[in-house]
Amino acid sequence: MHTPDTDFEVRSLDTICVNESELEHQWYHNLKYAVVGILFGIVFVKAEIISWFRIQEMFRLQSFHMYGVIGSAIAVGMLSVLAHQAL
Amino acid sequence: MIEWLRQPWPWYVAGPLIGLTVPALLLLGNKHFGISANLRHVCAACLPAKIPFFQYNWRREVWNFFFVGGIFTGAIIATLLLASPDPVVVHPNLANELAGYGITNYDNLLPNQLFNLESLLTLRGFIIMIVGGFLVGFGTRYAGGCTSGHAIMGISNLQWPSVVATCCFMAGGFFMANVVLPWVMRL
Repeated sequence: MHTPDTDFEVRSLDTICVNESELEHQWYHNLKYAVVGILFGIVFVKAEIISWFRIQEMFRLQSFHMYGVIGSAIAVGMLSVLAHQAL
Repeated sequence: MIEWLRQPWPWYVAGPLIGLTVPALLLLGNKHFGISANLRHVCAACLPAKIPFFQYNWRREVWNFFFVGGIFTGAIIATLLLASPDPVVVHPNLANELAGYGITNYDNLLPNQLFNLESLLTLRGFIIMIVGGFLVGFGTRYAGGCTSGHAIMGISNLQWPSVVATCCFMAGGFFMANVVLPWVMRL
């Protein structure tokens, strides 16, 4: 009895065609991700994106702040991916 | 300069900076931006049981631990060095509503009167912190990602499942904040 494999996420880590480098990097190569993370963490705190109050305002339609953050983040992310593909 | 950095940052500064995380991670190492995947990687690294969901080489995902560790460090830096001296400004209608639940302190980004050790043992605090945390953990894995992975990375890559997931996150948020939360807050 064959059941269809519906556990999609088991496969999600080994995407079928991905150009991944086979190079094994030293651990300190990961520090560049820590630097991106630090900048990201500062933005999240300083723009009050992690604030419980901002989230409540967002879902009560009392503030544009979070919609502006999410919308402009998606716009910039999408444009940079499209620009990258066009190159 | 420092004075300017200490005030809350507007959305048009924060949003584009967050958006730039997507190309930054793609260019640095073809990495996909996402936070909640770390919950899975931690389980894969720590759980000895033979669960297929956790049977993969988590060491390949170590970069994500560095990323999250960086976020934690950045949040500490922002809180210790760049904290705004003024209380959080909220919409008057929200302040009005929250006052009805006994929340009047706006010193922190989270209401002190809701998130503290003593209230962990009350029904309201337990639901908000423990049940809420469980739902976050369950939901992000069930959806295959959280808001950052689906809304920012997924939609930027024009992934239809991410658009669906993000719409459902928003619908769930509206329902929770307007229908369920007022009931929980009165407990």
